Amino acid sequence: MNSSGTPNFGPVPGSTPAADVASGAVLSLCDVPADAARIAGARRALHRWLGVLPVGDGVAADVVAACYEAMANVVEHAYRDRAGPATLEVAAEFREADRRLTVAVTDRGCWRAVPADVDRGTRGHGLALIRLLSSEAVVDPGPGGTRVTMTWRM
Amino acid sequence: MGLAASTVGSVTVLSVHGDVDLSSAPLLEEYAFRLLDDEPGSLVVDLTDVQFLASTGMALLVELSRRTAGRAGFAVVANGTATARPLELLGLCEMFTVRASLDEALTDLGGERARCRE
Repeated sequence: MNSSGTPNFGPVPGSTPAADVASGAVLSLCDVPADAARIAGARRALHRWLGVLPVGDGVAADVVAACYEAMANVVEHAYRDRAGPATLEVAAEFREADRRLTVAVTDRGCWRAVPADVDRGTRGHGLALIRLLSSEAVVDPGPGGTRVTMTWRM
Repeated sequence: MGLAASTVGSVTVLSVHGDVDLSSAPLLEEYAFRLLDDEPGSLVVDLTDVQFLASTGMALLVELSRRTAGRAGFAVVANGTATARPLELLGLCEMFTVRASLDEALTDLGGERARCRE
């Protein structure tokens, strides 16, 4: 996090992948079209990235599942009433020092809270799953878009 | 995602392979609903070979359990981190039967049928 409280997940300039893994690693997926096929690709990219980190298969499965639910939420809800390009961003960071993994999924659409009278059997599982699979999940809705930040402490 | 249907006695087994996500779940839904329309017996959804299960697929399992309630048995076969764990975390194991193997699920449903005949 920088001083404004905004996660700063840019690529590490001049670093090699091996150096990244030694001290930490970042993954940045920008302008991912918010459609079902493209978020499947983003899910595979995240899975590949996790595969070279010392996080274990169980944690990796939880991270991939939670991140997918955040992306699926964007596809299904965020741009329903918005014109313009529907995209999302995924920024992931693993810090070796404190063994903390953070993934943020950001869109420029509109956050929709789960209605209180929703059918709990067939709706609303996505956000519940995000909270259950992660150590901490924060939904930050704003006029310009929504960021879902998920953290795993290992 | 791949789908295959087979019957064991009066039980229809819907075997799912690959990923159940936003792209593939509508196909699974259409196929499962058709099976329910055509086959009056019990339904087992076998997720043994599913590597990824999104919540949209879990919601479909809830819907299938509701549609079979009162007319036939329903069970899901799931094991491992990608399927059994999220079903358990969300408490869906309390809404329908989840078994670790197809044999266990078939034994359960066979037992139910035997009791019904008594």
